[in-house]
Amino acid sequence: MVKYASFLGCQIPMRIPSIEIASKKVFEKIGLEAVDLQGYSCCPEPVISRLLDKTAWLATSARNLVLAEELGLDLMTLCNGCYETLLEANEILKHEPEERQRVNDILKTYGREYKGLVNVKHAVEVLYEDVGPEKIKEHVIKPMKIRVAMHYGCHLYREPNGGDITRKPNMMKELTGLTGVEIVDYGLERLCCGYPSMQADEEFSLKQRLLPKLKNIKEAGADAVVLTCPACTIQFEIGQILLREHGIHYNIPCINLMELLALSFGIPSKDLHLEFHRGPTSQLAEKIEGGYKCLK
Amino acid sequence: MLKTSKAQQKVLLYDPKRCTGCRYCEIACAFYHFKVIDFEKAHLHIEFDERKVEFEAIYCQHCDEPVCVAACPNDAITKDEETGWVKINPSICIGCKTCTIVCPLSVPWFNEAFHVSMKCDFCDGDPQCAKFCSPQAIRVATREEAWEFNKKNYLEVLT
Repeated sequence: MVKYASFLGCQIPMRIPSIEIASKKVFEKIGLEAVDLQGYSCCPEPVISRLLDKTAWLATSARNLVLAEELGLDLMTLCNGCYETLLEANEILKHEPEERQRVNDILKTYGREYKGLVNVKHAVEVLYEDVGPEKIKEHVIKPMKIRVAMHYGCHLYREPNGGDITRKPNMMKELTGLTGVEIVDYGLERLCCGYPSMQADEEFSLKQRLLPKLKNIKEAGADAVVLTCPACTIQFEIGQILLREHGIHYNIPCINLMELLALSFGIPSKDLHLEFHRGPTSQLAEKIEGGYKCLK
Repeated sequence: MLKTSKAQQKVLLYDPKRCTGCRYCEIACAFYHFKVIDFEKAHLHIEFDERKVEFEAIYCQHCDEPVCVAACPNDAITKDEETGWVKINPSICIGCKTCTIVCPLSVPWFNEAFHVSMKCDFCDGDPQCAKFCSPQAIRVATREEAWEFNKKNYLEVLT
């Protein structure tokens, strides 16, 4: 059986717990044992917190990695941001002895030591590489007859040593396709959703990043956007609410890959608590379950 | 005699085919230099053409023969021949903005608060923009590699 330590991060359990619920149900079905990492903290966030205090960022991340080491399991993340932080911190700590020493001096105070024993993987990689598309497809009993647009998220493009940035997005696309959806191309898949720039310039973020994507997604005839990143999901959902203040109206539902897989596995949407989304995700699921044919 | 040949000097190299337009590079740059999250205080900028679906970055090439150095009337801009980095000395800059006009890429910018011109200083060898770029669209490369890349992706495309 495939077994990982599961790192949920902050945004999923606190803001969109339906992703956590769906992932647990999906993992159980496909025989992936995901052990909750007890006592974990924020990953921490990969850019601003690292800019503010690199040592605090690295030490906090190292502590999370040590928790996985203590379980003797590699670490799996559901969130793109957590993925980049933990992957980067692990790379730094494994390859830069001075940083490792500095961090271990801090961890020693708490009776812990980073040894560099675990690897970090995104859930997309685990599903694709360790479980495999064929095995996942066996569990799809309710093909999703909808059109979807993909949004992969910037941090999913992170590859150590400048590798192929499309590697994980391609895996995500293939996994999405297993659910029976029709994936529509809208031309702006790689464009950032605008979440990072919200902190610097809200109007730019909404109008120059999110809006072009929403326009193209709607024009492409997608019924929903498929994502893995909770931060991007929040940007898509809250962004559509904020755009109303500018007289711009969109109402495109977001669905996490885990939620989409769960629905295609026949898990009722009411069990997933999709109402945690700040958009019409539960309405989309109800339409699918009611036999509503979104496909034209 | 230079310890490092010009071809092996470190420069920034941007590949638009990897960029997502997240502007984390700008956030990292502005925060490193000014401790604020403000795109206008970044020494590099990412542009996105929605119609053509193309990304481009405006960033300092630390030119072999920098026009900004030649044009500065007060010798406030110098090129370190060993590292290749082109820097503005704010204590010598008179705020005439000549560099902001002559640079073919419009990299130097005038800081209204400080009344001096500013530009990329390569973060003393550890460029923050490259460090925080998730898809590694902007990264540190040798001048030789950057030249080959730019020749292939810009000059040869145009000719």
